[in-house]
Amino acid sequence: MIGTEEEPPVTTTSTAYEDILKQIAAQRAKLSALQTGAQTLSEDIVALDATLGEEQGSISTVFQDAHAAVKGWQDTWSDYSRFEQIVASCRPREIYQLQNQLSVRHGQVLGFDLLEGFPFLVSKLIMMHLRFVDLANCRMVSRNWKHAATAYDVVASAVRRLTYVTDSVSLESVDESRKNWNQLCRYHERNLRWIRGRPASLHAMLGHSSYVTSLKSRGEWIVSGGYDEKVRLWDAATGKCMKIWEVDSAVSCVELFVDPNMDGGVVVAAFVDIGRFE
Amino acid sequence: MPVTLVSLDNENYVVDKEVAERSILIKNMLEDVGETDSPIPLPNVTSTVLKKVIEYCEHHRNDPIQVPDETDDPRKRSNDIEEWDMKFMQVDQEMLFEIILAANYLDIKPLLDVGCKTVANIIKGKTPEEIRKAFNIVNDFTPEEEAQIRKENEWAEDR
Repeated sequence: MIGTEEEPPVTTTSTAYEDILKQIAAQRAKLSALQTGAQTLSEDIVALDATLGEEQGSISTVFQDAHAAVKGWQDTWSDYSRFEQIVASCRPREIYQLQNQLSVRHGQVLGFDLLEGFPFLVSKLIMMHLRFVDLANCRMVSRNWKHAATAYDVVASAVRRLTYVTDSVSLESVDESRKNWNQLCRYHERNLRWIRGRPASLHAMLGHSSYVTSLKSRGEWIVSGGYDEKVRLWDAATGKCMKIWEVDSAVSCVELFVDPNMDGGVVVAAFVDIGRFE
Repeated sequence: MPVTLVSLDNENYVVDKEVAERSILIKNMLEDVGETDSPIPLPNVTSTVLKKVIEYCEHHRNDPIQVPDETDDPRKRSNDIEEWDMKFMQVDQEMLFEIILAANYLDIKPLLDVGCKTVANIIKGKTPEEIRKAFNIVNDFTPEEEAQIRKENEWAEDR
């Protein structure tokens, strides 16, 4: 019975032992799991290290690139300032030669600003050969050109040239003020343009819906009439229709009388059908 | 009696006195110095330009010297260029520029005049943009300034 009695303790012992064994096994399992975990972790760390190293590598590449770029800019800048120095120390002729050499390389031919290199006196001498219209164009080219084209003696020369053409203005009156010259020149230009039939401005005067039979221009006004049974009064300067008269009959001819002293005028129209006029 | 002219790059040119005296500068120099054998230095003129200027003076050696008063009134000034002068002026812009500068420096009125006329002929009838292109000029006006000048110029525009 002892045996049997002993059994339970054995059993218990064995149970306890087994328990311990189980625990140990469990602990071992845990340990191994831990070890695997640690292993994975260390692997991860290694992997991370590697990526970090790569990152660092790429960061340093970025740094190098940036550095190179800055260096490049610096080089370009020093090139540019050196170029600036060269250009600043060049005389216009030498700039022209530079341009020539460049144009040989790039196949483009460039001129150079003559006026930039001439003494002001010479610039003026050139301008003195120009007509007023050309001077007006020169004035728009650049500041330097405007300066030369508006010089007193240049303008005076252009005006004297005009008086040679028209020969009606005495030279003495020319020196009074520049404003008068401008007016004189405008007047002259307008006449020239009139002679050549080249208007300074064109207006399309839209309105009549049928044939226009009659048109008269008197001073600042233009009057017109036509088959659309309307007489229209226009502002000659702007080309705008200022007044419309509905006359209920086709117009054959119109006439306009303007009294310059009074603020008024008379518009007369004659009609096609019944020979009446209003 | 011949006169020796020395260019910027130390080239010597021997020309007749009457040819050299087309240049008022040289004429005045010779008058100041009197009879002399020593060469006249022209430190502002290169040999290529000086050669060209001498060519002009040789051709015009017998022209009457212009009285300054005559050229003052532009009404009496003709705008035409003599045929020979026209051919003479058929050079590139650089040479034209140099000839005008030299004529101004040497005080050769007729040559300066021809040079200026030639440039004026390039400018004539061109729009501002065409002038800028011909002389490679940068438009340095602000848009406001440009608008203002355009307004002032309205009357001159050909449409």
